[in-house]
Amino acid sequence: MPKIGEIKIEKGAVVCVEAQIEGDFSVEIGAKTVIHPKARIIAERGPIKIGTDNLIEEYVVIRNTRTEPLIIGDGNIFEIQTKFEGIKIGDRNIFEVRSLITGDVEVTTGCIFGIGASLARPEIVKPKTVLTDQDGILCRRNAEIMPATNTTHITFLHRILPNYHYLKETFENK
Amino acid sequence: MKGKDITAKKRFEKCTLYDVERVLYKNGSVAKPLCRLLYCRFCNDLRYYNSDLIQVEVDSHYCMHALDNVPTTEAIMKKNRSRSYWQCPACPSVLTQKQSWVIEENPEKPEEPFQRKTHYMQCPFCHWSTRDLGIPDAPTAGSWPEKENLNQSRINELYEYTKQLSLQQASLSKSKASRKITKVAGKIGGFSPMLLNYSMRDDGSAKKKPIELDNPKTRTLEELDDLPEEYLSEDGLDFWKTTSLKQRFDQPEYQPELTKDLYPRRLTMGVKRSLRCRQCDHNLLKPEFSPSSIKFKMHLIATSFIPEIRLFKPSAFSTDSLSANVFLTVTNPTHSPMNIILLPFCEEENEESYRFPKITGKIMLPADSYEIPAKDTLLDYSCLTKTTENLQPSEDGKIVLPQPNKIAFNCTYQSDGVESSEGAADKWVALRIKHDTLDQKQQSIWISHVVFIKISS
Amino acid sequence: MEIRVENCDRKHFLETTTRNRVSKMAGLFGSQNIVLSGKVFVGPTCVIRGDLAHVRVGKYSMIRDGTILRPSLKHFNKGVAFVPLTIGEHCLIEENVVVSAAQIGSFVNIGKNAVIGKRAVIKECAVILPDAVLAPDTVVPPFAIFGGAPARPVGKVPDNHQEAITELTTTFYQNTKVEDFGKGK
Repeated sequence: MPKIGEIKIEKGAVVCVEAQIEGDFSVEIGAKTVIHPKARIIAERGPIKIGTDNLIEEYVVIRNTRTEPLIIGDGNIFEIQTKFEGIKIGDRNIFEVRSLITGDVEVTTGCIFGIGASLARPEIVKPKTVLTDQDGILCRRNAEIMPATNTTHITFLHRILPNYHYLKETFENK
Repeated sequence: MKGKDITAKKRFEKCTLYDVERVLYKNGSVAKPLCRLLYCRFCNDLRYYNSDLIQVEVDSHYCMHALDNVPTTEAIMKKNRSRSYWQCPACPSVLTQKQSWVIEENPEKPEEPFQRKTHYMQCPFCHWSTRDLGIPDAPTAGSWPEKENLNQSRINELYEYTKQLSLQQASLSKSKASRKITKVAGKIGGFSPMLLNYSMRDDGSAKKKPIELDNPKTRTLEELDDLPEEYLSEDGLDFWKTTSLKQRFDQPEYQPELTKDLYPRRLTMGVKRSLRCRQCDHNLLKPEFSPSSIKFKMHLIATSFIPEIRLFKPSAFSTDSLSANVFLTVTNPTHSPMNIILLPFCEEENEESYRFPKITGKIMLPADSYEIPAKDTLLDYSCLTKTTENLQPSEDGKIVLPQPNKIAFNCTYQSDGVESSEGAADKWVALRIKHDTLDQKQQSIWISHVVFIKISS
Repeated sequence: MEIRVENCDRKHFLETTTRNRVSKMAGLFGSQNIVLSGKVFVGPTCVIRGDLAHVRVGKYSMIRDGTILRPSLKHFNKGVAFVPLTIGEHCLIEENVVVSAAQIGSFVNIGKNAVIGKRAVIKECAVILPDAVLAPDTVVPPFAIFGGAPARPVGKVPDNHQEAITELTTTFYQNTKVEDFGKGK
């Protein structure tokens, strides 16, 4: 439920009504982004700007605990129960189920956070890093290839989600 | 994530639906929970699958991923490795199932681009892919080149030598035991079907001397090589490019040190096994042939014949934790009424008591013998809605439970007074349970078991 | 120890015509695609996403608090589709599990906080340990115990597993039946 603060959802974004976008500051959501029900985007102490083509699934918590705006790029995937409280996110990253990013982390492009991976110390994650949690130990690897894009996934969701959910209102991008 | 410090093996013991490690039945020199034991109806005795009295036979091989049967000869030829599935070398033991394919455009003529499908493998968990190795993508799905083992010729030499040795030994030992094994036609896994064929033929080839083995001689080193320069340089080792110990030991034949040498390995096959009692030569556990079936052709597990003792609720200890009120339930799993007699436990003299849990006290049982009704096949589950909280015992100490084939009773535990140094150590008691059962000739016989029960929380 | 199941707070549950017990605080999206075969227990704060694909849950299954049942995505030559999720009978899915599998067989026990990857196939009588993480597309053979992250086989299920889990799920269902339940659709 929105409290104070403007929420600007661009035309073409699919944001389900059960998603909770709250906070005292403004939240901007780019075109073609899909936000599933029960996701939470909290602009606690600063605004949040989410780019285009992102996919935010259930129980994701994106929280801005800084006064500077939190900028999330394009083509990112946030899977179920992810938690992000970092500085910045670039493009085409994948945050898998239950990944936790607390602390001053800046994520660049093409990174993959595996299931349950958690980062708490301040860091700049280099492009194409893969962090996986194997039996409690965080393993890092450099990948050669960028992760796959999610455009087909998003177009499919654009087709079926409006059949089952009410959507939040969108504004024309001026 | 705190919970992930515990290794998977330890958590396995606590994973079951009810705490099975609390009540252990003694079988020979081990004490195991009843759900892990088998019952031989012909010898009228419990059996544990890891003991000498049980022979494990391989029934069939199947692919763990595709869940389809693989003929035994093919399994032996492929050394129990799957023909089409590979395992990721980076994260331990995960399948590289994702055989994605990419359509590439190779223009042979500039106006008509030529599209080609290529295949590469990717791990779905750690996102390692064959492109990280620099291997060119395979044109078809199954055509990944096998990596050669540099030590293969030496291994073949050792294999031939041991095969010759075993042939010699098999022909020399003409005992009854070896003849018995040969009756079980070809069911023992590994390379022994070929062994059986040889021993049954009994030709003169076994009498030849085995090939002499050419062992490399040990040599002493006067000087050791210096450390490679990269260890002493300022940058140190490049940890992004070195493999971890786990990744190395997962492939003992190759043990790659650099990540660019990490090649995927083939998935090992699963095996369906049947268990046979050695004393009477009868099958105790025989699964169905199909890998995805959960039915059994023969399913003589102990929980369908032996009454199972469980703790009914957590014991109420007195304040000095030297005595407690213990509630036990006994379940009759058979379809006929069963009489049980509970007796106190007495230690036998020559027993290796270190393998069993250390008994810390005595348990006082209210009465000697009970009769438990049969299991009701057409159980009306509405009877289970009555609460089991405030049930009063009847005259002989027996509490009648809603479920017909289960009784509970109350007993008292008295500690021996020997407090161990840990303080909150596990408290074990032991008792003997004697019950009647029908043997092969449909006659009623009495069998007794020794049961160890852990009553501390 | 005897199988003991805690009773749930009976005021917050609805009982359907097919005798399913669904918590009022559970989120069932796309309920026309969700089939609960009968005597299924769905705990509070569960989420079942029927809007993405069909979800079918077999009888006497227990889906405990905080679990998310979510059909997974599969890429084909000509596009993507969500794979329907089927759960067999007498399954016990503990708290806080994320299930994205394609198929879960009967008599399966999934421990707390596990994550079942996309398109996974879990065959009958399997056990997944608590805190396990199954990689996408894993196949769990019958009678296997899978644990760890990534999940790999760590043991074999005791032979009486089928009877034990049947007894547990039926006892649990019977213990939660009292006249206080409100009638729902």
